[in-house]
Amino acid sequence: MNCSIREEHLDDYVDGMLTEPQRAETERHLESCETCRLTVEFLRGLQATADAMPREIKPSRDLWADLEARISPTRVMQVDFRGRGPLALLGVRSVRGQWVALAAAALVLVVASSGITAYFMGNPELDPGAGLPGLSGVGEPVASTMEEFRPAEIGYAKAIDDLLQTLDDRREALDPETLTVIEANLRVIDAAIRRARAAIEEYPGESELALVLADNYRKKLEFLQRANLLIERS
Amino acid sequence: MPSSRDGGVISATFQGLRRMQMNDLVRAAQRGDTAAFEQLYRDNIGRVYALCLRMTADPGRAEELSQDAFLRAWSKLSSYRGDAAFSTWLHRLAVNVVLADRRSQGKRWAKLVMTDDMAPFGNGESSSAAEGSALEMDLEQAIASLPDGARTVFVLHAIEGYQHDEIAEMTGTAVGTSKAQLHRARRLLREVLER
Repeated sequence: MNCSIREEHLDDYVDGMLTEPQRAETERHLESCETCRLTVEFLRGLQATADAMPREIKPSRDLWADLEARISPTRVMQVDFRGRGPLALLGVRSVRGQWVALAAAALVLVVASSGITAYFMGNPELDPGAGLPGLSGVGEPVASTMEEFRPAEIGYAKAIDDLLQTLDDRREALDPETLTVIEANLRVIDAAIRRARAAIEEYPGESELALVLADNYRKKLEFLQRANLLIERS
Repeated sequence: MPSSRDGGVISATFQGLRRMQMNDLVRAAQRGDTAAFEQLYRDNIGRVYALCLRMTADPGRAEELSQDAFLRAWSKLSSYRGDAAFSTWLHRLAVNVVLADRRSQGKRWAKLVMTDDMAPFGNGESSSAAEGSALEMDLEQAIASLPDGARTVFVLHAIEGYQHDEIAEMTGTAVGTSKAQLHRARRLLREVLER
């Protein structure tokens, strides 16, 4: 700069940190000093560009799975829920496949040290659906977008809601540990459902993803049925 | 343990979760509801990651620090009283995580204050890539090339809107230091962008 004004002073001017007399004096100076005018012009343009920069940037991968594992206070183990699932039909190398893998990976159920775990891992004595509201009327969806999946989703939601109501009505009969395990697993399954929905919205047209979502809903229904049966037999 | 159907996780179908307002999610997360915390994560990860990325200029490190920030938030949720918006509280916490990480790496703030190293900008070296209009250079990249101290203050002040006294408090330095770093950042950015 070839004038007496320090650049820091122009910073303060642009940031609105000068007193009124200082500001007026600076503006008089700017009328005659092109160097300072250009500096002010740059600083204002820089701030305008900074203001326009996106406030949100998505990381290159979903960080939730790792984070969830780090915050989980409960021991977890992999459970092959009756060996079902369309994941086996799919490759997992594509981006879409990674979404599917993520959705499937979420189905890691929480177990407890007590015997109640057996009830949620395929006890053959349990007959899901017997005498309980649930799967009736909910068929296999033929869909590749969330819009197409909506009718099936409504059906699942209705059945799930009925089972939740039944379970909630009976929750007093459950010991706290069992209730904790049930709630923890419902959260796991709900997370899987949300991921599958997100995958469908991200990759519309992939009918396999609708199968993943439907499978997750069925798992939730089945789990709720088992929980209700557990209460009935306790 | 929630006792009512509306307040419990059991009744939180996916529709219910989507309808939950931020405060409801925070309260549920404070009770240990990881599904609610996941929703808070999804609502805020973009802003937290953007902050970490701009402050570190390292995508891999930014991912790790973003996770650390949410991990810290999870462990400190009970101390959140709702005096400020959750996103504001989380954002401030993320800034502290990044600054703590920097300190733990020995890149102490004080060492950066008066450094005038222009090496990151490749001064004096000809570059055919830079032959075109320097004004077209992406500001994001220019910020990433700033020295740590100048970049931190520029990101916090010019992009995130923190005032110098807040930055001074977070970085453990004087207000004058924050202002000096901002001036330095602007000067370096001008040299890069107008090169």
